[in-house]
Amino acid sequence: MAALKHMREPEPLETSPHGEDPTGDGRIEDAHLVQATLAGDAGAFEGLVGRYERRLFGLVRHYTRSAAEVEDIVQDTFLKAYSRLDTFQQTSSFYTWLYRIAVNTILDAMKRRGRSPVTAVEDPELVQRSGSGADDATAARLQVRPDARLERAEIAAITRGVMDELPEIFRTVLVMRELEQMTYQDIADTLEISIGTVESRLFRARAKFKQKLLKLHPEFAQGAEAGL
Amino acid sequence: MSRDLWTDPRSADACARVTDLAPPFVDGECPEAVASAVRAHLMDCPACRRVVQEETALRQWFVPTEEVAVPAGFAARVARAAFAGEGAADRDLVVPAGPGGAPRAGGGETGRLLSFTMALAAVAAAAVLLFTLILAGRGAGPVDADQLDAGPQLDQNLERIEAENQALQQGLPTTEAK
Repeated sequence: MAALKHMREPEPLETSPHGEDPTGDGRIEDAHLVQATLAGDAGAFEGLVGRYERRLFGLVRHYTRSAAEVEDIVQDTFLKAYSRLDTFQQTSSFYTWLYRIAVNTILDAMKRRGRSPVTAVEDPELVQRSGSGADDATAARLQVRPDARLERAEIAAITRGVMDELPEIFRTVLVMRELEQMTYQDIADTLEISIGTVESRLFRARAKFKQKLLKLHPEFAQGAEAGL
Repeated sequence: MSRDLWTDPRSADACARVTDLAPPFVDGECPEAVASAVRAHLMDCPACRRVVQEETALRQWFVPTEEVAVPAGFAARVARAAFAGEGAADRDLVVPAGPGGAPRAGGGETGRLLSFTMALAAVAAAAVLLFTLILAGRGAGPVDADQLDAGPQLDQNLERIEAENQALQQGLPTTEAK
């Protein structure tokens, strides 16, 4: 596989409620808030929470529709982050570190709900063996495109239904890449895996997603002769 | 355009490479030189164009979700909980504020009360056990020397018995005989 470019420049962060960031670099402001929190400044921690609460709420919403559960998980994430704040090494951005805690918290919550967090294994043949050979070959040839008449909300609902059927290891990388728009490098940093593993998981996750989608909604399959 | 990826853009090797590169290409993760080579190949290869179209079609299922509303005062509540020492646990969290605005005592309060109750019960059980052992020990312990001392009455009785014995030996009348 050809070499891939590394992480893009991080997107600008929101302005801290505790004042202007003199450098314009959100990460330096995060470090300042972290230090202030460790020094006992509750307002600084509130600032950190306020800065990233919306993004975490958005992330958790990809896993559960229950507003109460979303709030519980996000609150849990921030409380865990607070308890481990002294271990934040600043080798990655604060949000990457926080995101990692969030993903683990989400997976713990899913496990409590009875969803196995990891049911996929690293066996590269697993995807081929997961369904009948004919189903996999058929899925590989077909384009699976949303009907143009579908509303955005309907598409999102269908996608959510399919994602609910996926092993969490696949769902997580799809959420991070497709819904959170994270780069391969960001995903690798967050999950503490290599970029090669990110690519491999995404490949298998997309194959699984497509297979499940065709099973649940065969009406969306377009034949091999379509589209060219 | 880079020619490093394949010797012949129309070869099966080139198609295999482009098929492998299709996902990162569509994701925008390829370096520009690689992306340029892929684009050039796609111009002449309908089969690889289809592969890229399949990748693109699949991504159309992942539409941005609706804006998420964060509850008012969430950040302040979390900061208060954190600095109050409330840890994250399964259900050991401060329950979000109700309509009145004030946070209700939730899982955190119950958890601490339960822990206190259990500790108190353990202490009480240990105290009962200790008390029982003390009582049992008093009933079976060694006899106190003071308990054996019957006082001066015993000495007097012993002296009278000694006197009676001496009288018997000398043939003198004893008190019993009287």
